[in-house]
Amino acid sequence: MTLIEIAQLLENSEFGTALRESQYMFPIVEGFHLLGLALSFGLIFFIDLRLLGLFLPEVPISLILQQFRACIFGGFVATFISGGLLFWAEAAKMLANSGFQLKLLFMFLALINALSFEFKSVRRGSAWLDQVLAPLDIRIAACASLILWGGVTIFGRLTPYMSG
Amino acid sequence: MTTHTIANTIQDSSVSTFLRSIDHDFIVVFEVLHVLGILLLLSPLVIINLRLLGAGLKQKTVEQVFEAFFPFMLAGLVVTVFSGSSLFLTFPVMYYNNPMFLPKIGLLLVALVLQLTLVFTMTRETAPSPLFTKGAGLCSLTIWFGIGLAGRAIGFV
Repeated sequence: MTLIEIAQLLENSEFGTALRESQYMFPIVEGFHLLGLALSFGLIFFIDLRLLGLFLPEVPISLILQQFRACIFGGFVATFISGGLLFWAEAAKMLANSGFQLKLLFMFLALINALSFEFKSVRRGSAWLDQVLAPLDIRIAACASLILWGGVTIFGRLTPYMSG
Repeated sequence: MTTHTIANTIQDSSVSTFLRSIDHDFIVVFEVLHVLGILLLLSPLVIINLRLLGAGLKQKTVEQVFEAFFPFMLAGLVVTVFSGSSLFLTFPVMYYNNPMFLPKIGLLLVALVLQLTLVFTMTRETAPSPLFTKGAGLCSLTIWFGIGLAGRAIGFV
């Protein structure tokens, strides 16, 4: 069974069809998909600015990471669950969409970057966490995070306008 | 003059006609800017209202948090309103007739007035009651997220 056949099965399933054709559920799920981003990418944006030393330099990095972790995680859960549901409703159409493909690519790279950031910060121990300016590799990861999540958002919004 | 006539007059205006005459790809740029603006506006609001609820940047006062995030919020609001107005001006009658459009704009005005009143009251008072602060933070966040939901629904109803 090919990927596109699986996608077609999903899209044509009872749940996929019901969600796609529902008057209220589809827009509500779309809404949660957007609002989840305000917690996830939105808060990551400010953390990245802090890592780059551009914003709130007097607040220790360890504190800002710890205080927003639950919110960011909650935001990602909302974005991923709603995104999964939206994909279920239009799976085959989405797989063939170049905007969606680019969004997936940016998302994959952003997740790898986030994981490598976690590993790097664990390996470095906690000494750097209270410096005003984060070490160079962490600052590069922060830059990459801004560009990659920005790309995910931009291509996500462009998806309905890119049919091929 | 009814509001419907106003929407029609705007539709026939030169700005509106011009926006419809330009390449559609360019209008899509406003859609992207609208989302980026919303994120830049909503995230600081989340942080400010979380602080009102007693969570988040606890080492700073409500006033300090508001001052630090206000420029981002303002930039987000400007980008959102600019791109949103451009989208509205392209097809004013269509948006006017959309059942989610007027509730969204109404909620937006309520949220702006409430948020500004709130922050000014909170920062002026030396010891605002914790219950009032928390209720206000929760109320404000709910309205802002409601605007987001209503706005997103415009494209589907």
